[in-house]
Amino acid sequence: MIHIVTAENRHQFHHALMEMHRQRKAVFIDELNWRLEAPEGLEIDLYDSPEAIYLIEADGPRAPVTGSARLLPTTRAHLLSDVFAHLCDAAPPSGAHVWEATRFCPAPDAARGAPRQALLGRIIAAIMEAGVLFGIEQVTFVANAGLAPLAMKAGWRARALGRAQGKGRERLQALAADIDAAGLRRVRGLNGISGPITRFASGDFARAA
Amino acid sequence: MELSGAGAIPAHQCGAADFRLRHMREFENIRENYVSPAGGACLAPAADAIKTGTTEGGSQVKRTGLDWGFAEICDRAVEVEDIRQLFMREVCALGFTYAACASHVDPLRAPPQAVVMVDYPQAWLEHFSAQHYARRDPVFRAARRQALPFQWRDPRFLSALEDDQRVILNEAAEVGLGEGLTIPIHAPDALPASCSLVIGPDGVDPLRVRDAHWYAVYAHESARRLLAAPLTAPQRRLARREEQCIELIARGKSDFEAGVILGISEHTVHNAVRRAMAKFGVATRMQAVMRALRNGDIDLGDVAP
Repeated sequence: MIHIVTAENRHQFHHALMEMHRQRKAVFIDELNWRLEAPEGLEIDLYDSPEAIYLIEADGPRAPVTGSARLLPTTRAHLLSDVFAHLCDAAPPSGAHVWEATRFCPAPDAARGAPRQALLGRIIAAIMEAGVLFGIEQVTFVANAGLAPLAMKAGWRARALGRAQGKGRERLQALAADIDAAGLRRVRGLNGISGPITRFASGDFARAA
Repeated sequence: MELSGAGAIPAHQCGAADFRLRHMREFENIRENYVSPAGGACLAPAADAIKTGTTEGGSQVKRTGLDWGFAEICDRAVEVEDIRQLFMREVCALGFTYAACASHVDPLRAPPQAVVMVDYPQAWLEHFSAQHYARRDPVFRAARRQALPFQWRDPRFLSALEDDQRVILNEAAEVGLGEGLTIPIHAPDALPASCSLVIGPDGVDPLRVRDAHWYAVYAHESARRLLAAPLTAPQRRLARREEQCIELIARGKSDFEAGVILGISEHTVHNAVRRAMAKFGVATRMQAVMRALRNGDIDLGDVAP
């Protein structure tokens, strides 16, 4: 299952969040050599904050993390406007109903190929479920040459915000996808997902229980 | 409310002076209630009381970000034990259960200048000491070779281990010291040191780990200064000429070569080196070079081949 972690419930997910930041270091810095910082052995950037929404796939709050992604409200600082605006022909979509998805991170030991594609499908389904829950209409993201075609044919209605730029695998493109019930049904259908795969443990609810 | 600081007002915006004052009072209370253990070893009799005090009783100080009062209180501390208690309180409040902010020495047989602020299970410390693990501890080794903290689960750290070092980590995990991180500490004129922090059952917010980093470096530095003060004889500084000669010796030059480079006689070089040895109270040129390096009279970057 994929946990939706927000400011409200993140205190229940300290272990999973810590593991997610460790995995991001192992994947983006050690494996892919992205120029990011990991000052405490954890990949944490300017955009990580309690206000970010994290999707973390794990069977429980202390179970092994198998994948994660980060969603940023576009009413606050986010990458597409700050760093990747040149990938957009027009102003990057932003507002109360737009999220930006970043840091899709399979666990470092996840098998390549089909298992990672299946994880991407589950994460996209989770983005849509969380989006529906929070009243989000559109999700923007930047994809490289490997990820962009997979994201385009994941089942949601996705479109390019501008031409791809750069060379080789690091040829980057800004994309946007609509969040709606029909898209969610198609994503589930294409990925063999029979029903909701996210869990949102509300902090207050958990304490009351 | 425990919303991880979301929407809360940062401490520095709600009256920093007031904040520090309250914190000082808390700290004074600890000091008054604490009786120093016999023998002066800093090994944690009060640690459990501190933990329950902060987690169950609820800290009176609502902390939402880095606590600058911490630095001030460390600076004013008169005993390492004061710093240790304050440090343990802060890191326990972040969710760590055990901590060892210490020089890389046998914690039960530490030399007087070693910083030992350790709150680890006593049984583990005894085992660690009996097995002479300070010499093989992979965490110590990794900490000596890097400046930035590392997580014990980091595949890069784990893949560099030898079998006997894995044994140490596995044994530590069995006594509840399995998940955490180590913050290397490199201070001038100090023994190699680091701070290891063990993550407790409720976890630690990853966004707060940098707070622990800062606490560890500051607590160690305050403790080191406190310990160094009575021990260090007034340092005799090297004269400029002595410094130049020692630097050239460190670069592998002979007295003759150093003399040619500096435009002085071989004999003058020889005497300058003798004077440096006398100031350091050491018997060999090699030791004089090492002392000059450690004191910062010469710089490793200038002499390393």
